[in-house]
Amino acid sequence: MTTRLPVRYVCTDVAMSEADEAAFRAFAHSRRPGLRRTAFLMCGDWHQADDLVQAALTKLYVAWRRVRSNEAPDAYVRQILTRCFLDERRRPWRRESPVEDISDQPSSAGPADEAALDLRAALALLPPRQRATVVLRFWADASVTETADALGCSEGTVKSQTARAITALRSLLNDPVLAEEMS
Amino acid sequence: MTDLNDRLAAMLDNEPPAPYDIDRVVSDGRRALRRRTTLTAVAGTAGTAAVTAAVVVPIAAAHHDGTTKKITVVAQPSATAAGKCELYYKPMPHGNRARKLGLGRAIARAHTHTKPGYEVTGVAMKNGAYVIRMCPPGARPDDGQPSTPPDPTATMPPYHYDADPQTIADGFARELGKQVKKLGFTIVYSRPFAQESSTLEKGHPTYYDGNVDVQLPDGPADIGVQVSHAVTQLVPFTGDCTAPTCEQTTLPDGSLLQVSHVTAGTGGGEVIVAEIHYANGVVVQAQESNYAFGPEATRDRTKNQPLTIDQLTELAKDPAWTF
Repeated sequence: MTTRLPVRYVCTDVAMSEADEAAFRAFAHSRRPGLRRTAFLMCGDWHQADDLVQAALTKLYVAWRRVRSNEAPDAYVRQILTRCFLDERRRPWRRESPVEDISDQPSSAGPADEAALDLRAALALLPPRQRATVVLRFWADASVTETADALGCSEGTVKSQTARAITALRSLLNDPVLAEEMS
Repeated sequence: MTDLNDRLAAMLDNEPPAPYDIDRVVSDGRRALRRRTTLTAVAGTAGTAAVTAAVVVPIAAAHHDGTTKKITVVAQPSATAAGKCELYYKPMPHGNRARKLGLGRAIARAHTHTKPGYEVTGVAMKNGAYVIRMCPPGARPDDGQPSTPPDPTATMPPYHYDADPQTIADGFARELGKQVKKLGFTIVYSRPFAQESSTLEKGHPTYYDGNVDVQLPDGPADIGVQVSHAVTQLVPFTGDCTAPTCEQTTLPDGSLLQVSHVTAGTGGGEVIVAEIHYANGVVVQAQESNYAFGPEATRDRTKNQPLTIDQLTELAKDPAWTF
C-alpha cells in the first residue's frame, strides 16, 4: 500500500509549563555564577566560558522536565558543561596552543597574581580531560563518582587522570608546597 | 579547602560581569525543544507511510571490508517538466535520541548530494533506513511504485556497540603508532586513545580521540586521529567546507573528503585536517600540526608539517578506523 507523505513537517506544541519554566529560571539564575567560574577554569577564557554556560543551560532547558523529576539537575548540568567544553576542544581550530595564547588575553587574567598566572599557564598545558578532572575535583569539589559521571568515564579513569594531572602540575609549577599537598 | 582550591579561586579575581540574559537562554531552549520535537513528530508520522518512488539516487555506503555497497535503484521518472524527484536512503543509527539526530543529518546529507533548489518533500523510516524524497520546485511527486529500501544491515556502521571501549581504543592506538612508525617517525609522546562519548547516552562507544607527537629535525610536531560514530552527532567537525582553506572531494565510494588548513593560535601554528564523512555516518579525522601537544610541547613551530597532504589523507582513509 502506498500512502502519500505529508509534505510539511509536523510541529507540536512542546512549551514547558509555567511552573516548570519558573523552576528552571530559578535554578539557572542561582547556578549561573558557579557554572561560569567552573567553565572559566576549564577553558581559561571568560568569553568562551559564557558561551559554554549558555550552551549548557540551553541543553538543560530541553531536558528540564526529565532532569527535574530525577532530582539531579546539578549533576546533569555539570555533565553537560564538561562535555560542551570537551566537544569544543575537539574543533580543530581549538586545538591547544599552549602558554602563548594565555599571554594574548591579559584582560581575563585578573590582577598580577603570579601564582594564579602560573597555575593558569600550567592548567593550559594539560590535556582538556585532565584539566576538566582537576577543576571538577579540586574546584567544584566533585567526588570521583560525580567526576566520572560528568566525564562519561570510569572511576578508575578519573583517578588515573587526576594522578597524571597532578604529576604534570607538580612538575610544571615546581612548587614544593603544592607538590606536597598534591602528593 | 586545599591550597590548590585557593589558587584556583585566585584565578577568578577580577571576574568580569556576566552578560547573560536568562530570557535568551529560555528562548534558545524553547527553539531547541521545538526542533527536537519536530523531528520526533516527523519520524513518528513518516514511520507509518511508504514513500512513493521517483528516481532513486543511491548514497554509496562504505562497507567494513572497504568495499562499496550500492543501494538498489528503482527508476520511476516523474511526469513533471520541472525535473525528477530523487530518493535518498540512509541507515538509521541505534537509539532513539541518535535516530532523531540522525534524521537531521540524513536530510542535510541529502541536501549536499542533490541538485541546487531541491527541497525535502517527504521523509519516511522503513526497514531501518531513513528514506528522504527531494524534489525540485514545482515537481509533483508521483504515485509510482513504492520503493524498496535496501537491507539496512548491509550498510550499518561496522562498529560493535558491545565491544569493550578500551579494547577498541587500544586497537586505535596501536594502529596510529604503526602507521606513524611506518612513515619513519620517532614518537616522543603518545596520548592514548580514549573513548569519549559526546552524547549523554551511556553504553555506546561513540567517539575516539588520540594523538602522538613525533620528532622532526627542528622540533616536535603532532599527528592525531579522531573517529566519530554515527551516534555522535554532537561532535563538531570541520562543518562547512569553504575554499580557499578547505577543499572537498567525493571519493569513489561516495564518501566526502574535506582537507582544511586551520591557523591555530599565534606564532605560525597551523593544523591540517583530512576529514572523511562516510555515508554510514562515520567520520574519521586525521590531523597534523606543526607543534606538539605532549609534555615536550613548546612555543616553537616546526618549519614543515610531519606529513604531506597525501599521507595525511591516506592515514584518514585507513580502514582500521572504521573496523
